[in-house]
Amino acid sequence: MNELFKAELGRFLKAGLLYGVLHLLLLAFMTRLVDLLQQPLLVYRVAALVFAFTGLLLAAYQMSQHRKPGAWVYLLHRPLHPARIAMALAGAAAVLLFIAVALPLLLDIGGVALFSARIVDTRHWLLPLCAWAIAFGVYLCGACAMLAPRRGMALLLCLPLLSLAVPASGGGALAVQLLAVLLAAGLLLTLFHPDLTSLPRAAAARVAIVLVMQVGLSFALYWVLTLGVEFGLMALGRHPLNGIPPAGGYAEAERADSAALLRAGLGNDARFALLREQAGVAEQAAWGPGAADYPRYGQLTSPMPLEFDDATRHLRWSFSHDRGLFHGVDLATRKDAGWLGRRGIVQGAAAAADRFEQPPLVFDERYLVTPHRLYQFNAIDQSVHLRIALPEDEYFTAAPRKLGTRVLVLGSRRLHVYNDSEFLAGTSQVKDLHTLPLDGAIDNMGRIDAAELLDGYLVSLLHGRQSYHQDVPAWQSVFRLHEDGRVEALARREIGRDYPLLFRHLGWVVTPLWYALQYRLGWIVSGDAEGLPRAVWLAIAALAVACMLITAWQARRAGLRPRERLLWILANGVTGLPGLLSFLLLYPPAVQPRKRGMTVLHTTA
Amino acid sequence: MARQQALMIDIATGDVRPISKQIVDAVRLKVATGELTPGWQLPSVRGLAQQLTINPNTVAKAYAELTAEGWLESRPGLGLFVATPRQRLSPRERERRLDDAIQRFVHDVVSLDYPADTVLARLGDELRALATRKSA
Amino acid sequence: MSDYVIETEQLSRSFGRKRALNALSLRVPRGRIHAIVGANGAGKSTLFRVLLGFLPPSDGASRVLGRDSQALTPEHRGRIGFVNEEHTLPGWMSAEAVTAMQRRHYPRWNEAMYRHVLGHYHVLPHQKISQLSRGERAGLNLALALAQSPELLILDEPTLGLDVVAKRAFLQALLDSNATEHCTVIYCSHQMEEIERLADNLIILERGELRHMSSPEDFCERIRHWVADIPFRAPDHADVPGLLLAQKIDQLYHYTVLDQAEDFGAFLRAQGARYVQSMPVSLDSAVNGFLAKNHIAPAA
Repeated sequence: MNELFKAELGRFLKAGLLYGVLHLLLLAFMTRLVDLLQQPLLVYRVAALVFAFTGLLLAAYQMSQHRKPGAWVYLLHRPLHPARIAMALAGAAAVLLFIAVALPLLLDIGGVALFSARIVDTRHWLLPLCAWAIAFGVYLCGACAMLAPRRGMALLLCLPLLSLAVPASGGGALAVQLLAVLLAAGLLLTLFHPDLTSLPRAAAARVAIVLVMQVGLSFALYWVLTLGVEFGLMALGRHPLNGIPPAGGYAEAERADSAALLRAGLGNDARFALLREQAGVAEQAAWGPGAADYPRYGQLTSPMPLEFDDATRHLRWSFSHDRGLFHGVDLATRKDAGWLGRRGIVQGAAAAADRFEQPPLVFDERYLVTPHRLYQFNAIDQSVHLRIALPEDEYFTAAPRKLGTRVLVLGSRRLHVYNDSEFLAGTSQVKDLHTLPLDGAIDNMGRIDAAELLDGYLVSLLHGRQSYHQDVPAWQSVFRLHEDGRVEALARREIGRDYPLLFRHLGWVVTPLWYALQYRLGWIVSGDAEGLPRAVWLAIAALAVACMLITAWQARRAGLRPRERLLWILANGVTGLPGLLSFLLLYPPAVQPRKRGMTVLHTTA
Repeated sequence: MARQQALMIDIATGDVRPISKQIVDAVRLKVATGELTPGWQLPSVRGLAQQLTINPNTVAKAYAELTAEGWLESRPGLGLFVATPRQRLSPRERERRLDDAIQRFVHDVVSLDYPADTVLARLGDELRALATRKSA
Repeated sequence: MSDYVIETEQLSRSFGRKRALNALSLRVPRGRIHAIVGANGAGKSTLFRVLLGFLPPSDGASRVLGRDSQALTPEHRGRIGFVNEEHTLPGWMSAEAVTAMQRRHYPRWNEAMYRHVLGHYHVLPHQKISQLSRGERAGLNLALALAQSPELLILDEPTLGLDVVAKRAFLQALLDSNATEHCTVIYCSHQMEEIERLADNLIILERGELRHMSSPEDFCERIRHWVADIPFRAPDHADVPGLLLAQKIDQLYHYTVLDQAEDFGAFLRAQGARYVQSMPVSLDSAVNGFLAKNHIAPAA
């Protein structure tokens, strides 16, 4: 085993070292230009993709060489258990990927920590391990796919995506990645045997393979069908979002300008004639909630870099997760410029009160926003002030919006209205002039429109952002905010849903089990979901029966044992299409051997 | 120590005769012509197999046949030796073979248009020469 | 210890519609050199892959050294040597590194044997496998296989693609090693010359079925070549008993027949032959004739 490990390592060592050196040079070059540790999530995702591809490439090359019939016999026909041979090969790959992927990252981070004033947090030291786990996890899955007895088992490559599907961060995310590595390693051991044409014999291995394949198939099915229906509707010229949207539908409302939407929301009621008129001419604003992805302490990556520049002093402030403070670096001299907390510049040792309660997002080089609080940095005196504090049950969903003499802040549960001069000029915490509780979940809210009336404000809330692809209701409500702080609900109208019923329930119909699971786990955010309509239940049942029938038919042709057959039929009744597809990929319709009979005499006359 | 004699034979694959038969024929000829001296030792089974690049079992088989026919004799623990010649064929078989040989000879010679005396004289010379070589 | 190194019972293996092995029942006794002969596609490679557990049978069972092929343990694998026609060795390794690896893996490694066999070749220890000639690679492979002291050595067309010199060197190395004294050799080849030189036992496979098993001499004796001068109409091929090959050359009819005694001449005379002659055939012609029988040929 040791010899095999050394042989395999020696085989790729030169290439691995070359990759590692080039990688390190590239990192060093990039580090001169930018702070690689303060990059948006996308940059890390791209890097992860490159590392994953590296692992895949290694697996594809290595295993394609080993699995050639002659080479496979040479490798496995020896007095050594196949599992030990697999471990020797995978061990060599693990070391190689460490050299090529993780080691340069470690050296680069070490260089930054030693030779620069930039922030290196504890979490950053985990990044090389993460990169290695991604590359090695994909390598293992790639090796599984290469050695798998069925082509459809290439779906095992979905396993590393587990770390994207599970909402975990920081050390948790790394743990999930390492779990994926362990699972993939287990799968590789079960697939690594002399006979490359048969499925593993162990039941646990089969179940694991089927599970991974089904999760991958569920994703694939959902997206293929969604895109298929969209493109189909486009081709038919009946796509609701293409061309003129259906009247009274969500798409129409979503695209209308503020005046039209406000007027539509008020309806034809004679009492609102004046308001309709004002809505057309008043100053208006329209915006919507953005994705609320707040960084958390210890998170490996952030959606955006947590840093901002103080142009007057040529300083760059970068957030340190370890300290909970911003760290300043002089852009000209690259020297240390101290620490900035939520009470301003930190003098001496930092106190708990200096530390931000969560890593803040930065807007306009000035606003530091945690989920519930908005701090303002003043470059003039390098002070930091708490300006807005939302109740603990809600978070900011959009940047403050100025309209007339007011500033509107959309929280996840309420719309808060502040006096603009107080907010813009002062340094103290501002108080609500108006508070409008939202009449629907923020996840489903598409758009908010406001118009400044002569006395107060007209606000329209449009719900139904998820009504295209999920079964959530769509409606519009219009409120009037009176000068005295009173909130008056004026009108509410239901909005039509542009896509057909079954399409909105596609997830439920196509992948019932997986979708229900995600729904229960809260991974699918649709707080407004209604119960499933009868037609959807019928569709699910019909598909289940069809899946069971096809499974039964094919299982008999494939010659499965009765118990196995029954298990598959029952399982596919529950899992539906992904189950059926995984079954067909594992037991493809076999060609029956033909009886042969011929005796031709060889003659040359 | 018995003197070992090289067995200068060659075998051909693709022949209608199996290799063991070829060895048997070659040894017989060499004994008959006196190339192999009675009392001398033959190469070992392994040695001849190595020399001819053939399976030792084939050599063993040929040696067994030659021993059974009396061309060779086995001395336990020492090896195989060329046996002292004696007549190995029945009188009838000898008669038949002689007929065959004469028929073939006559067939070949008749078209050459030599007088019978010349042919007989030459044949006599050859047979006498062979006899001297054998007794030498 | 089983008396047979290889036993198959009704062994079948299909690839889609094609049957590579068709209810093959074969028992190869322990000891000696057994040659397996068959046209391309006769199922030899499939047989070896099934025997070594690299392919499951569609039906039937096979045992190697008394152990079910599908359940070979590492210990069993250590007792079975296998040399394939490509002489697949890791090309990126040096000869000595490969040897060191095998030496560590095989508990019954015979260093003297290794050196003896490799003595037939000029392989330098530090040479990369990929830099060796095909003949040298074959030699190294043979040396590695023999040094494992296997009980069963399977050689699957080991001289394929070698030149005449390398072929002879390979045979010499194999014979010099006295391999047959310690193990049973299965030698699979298309080269009749090699089979003539090596085989104690001849096994003929055709389309996944066992067609013949005996010593090569016994096999040759079953087949005879007849030439007849038949001035009138020759008999229909279907009426000729045991016919393998029929050819008309000039005015004479040539028949290669199986299992026909001298009375085949009487048969030809009865068919109007004026003149009949017969001769034995070489192993090469015998095997060719035997295998030609069931070959598909355009209707003459």
